[in-house]
Amino acid sequence: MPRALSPEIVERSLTVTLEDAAFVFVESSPPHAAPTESEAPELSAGDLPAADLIAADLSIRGPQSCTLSLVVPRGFGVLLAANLMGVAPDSPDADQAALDAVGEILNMTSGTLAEHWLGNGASYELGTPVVTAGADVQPAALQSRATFTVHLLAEDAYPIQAMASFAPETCA
Amino acid sequence: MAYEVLVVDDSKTIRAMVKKSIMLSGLEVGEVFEAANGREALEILSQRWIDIVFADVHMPDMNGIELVEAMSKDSVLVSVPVVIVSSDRNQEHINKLQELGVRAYIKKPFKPESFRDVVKDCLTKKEGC
Repeated sequence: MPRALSPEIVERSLTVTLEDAAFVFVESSPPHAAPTESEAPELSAGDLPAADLIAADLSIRGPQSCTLSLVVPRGFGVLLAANLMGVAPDSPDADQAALDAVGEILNMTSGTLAEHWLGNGASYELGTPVVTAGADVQPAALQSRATFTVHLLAEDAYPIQAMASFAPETCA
Repeated sequence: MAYEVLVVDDSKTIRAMVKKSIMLSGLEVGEVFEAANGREALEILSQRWIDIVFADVHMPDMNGIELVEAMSKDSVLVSVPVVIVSSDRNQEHINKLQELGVRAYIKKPFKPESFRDVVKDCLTKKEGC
């Protein structure tokens, strides 16, 4: 039985995925809030220039549909790759796999989320993660079209934003 | 006996993650072969004996369901156990793969101990695990 997609479901799905797959522990950062255009927090502000960000998008299409987006600092992508692959964070393999790792974490999160959100027996299709990095990442644009944004802090060091955008025709 | 293993996933990161989990499972492993899609997997399967296949569902060129379908139509490959390792929890897809003879379905993310249990069951039982 489908239920409303809430920030709590997104946060739980992402937290479980990061802990089980990548051995990374996260905590809530600021309280959940639906960002408005004027209030949208700037992930790229301060010591996080856009050039150091990785973003991934993935669509879930079913009885209800949405697009999930994940924005993380590049250093966190490298850490994810290292932990997923079982190599040292300073290894060239981890650096090369940073974008792939962020896409795969979003893919796993979406599978967990779809099950909790749409129910066990629901028929749905997961899309393929689309990953961008550097100047192509536009956190403010992602936030402005997001229905809500979840803010997390990983390993006491890396700010993470997970955004959900509903497809209006299915989630009105 | 050392098992010859084939890991099929379009993500190099996930292939490395599955390979790491296989090594941690306690399974006596010979060589671990890698393929980025079903087509590459069939090519490897046609060239050498593989004891167990770990495959994703969503892959370009030939996906996991098409790979299992092709293996189920081959008189030799039909006996090779296939374990699906996927983020896809769509029950329709899982049912279809089980009907095609897939031995087990590991949902990502998984804990290393659950991976180990499934692998041991698959290699000790002749039928589903």
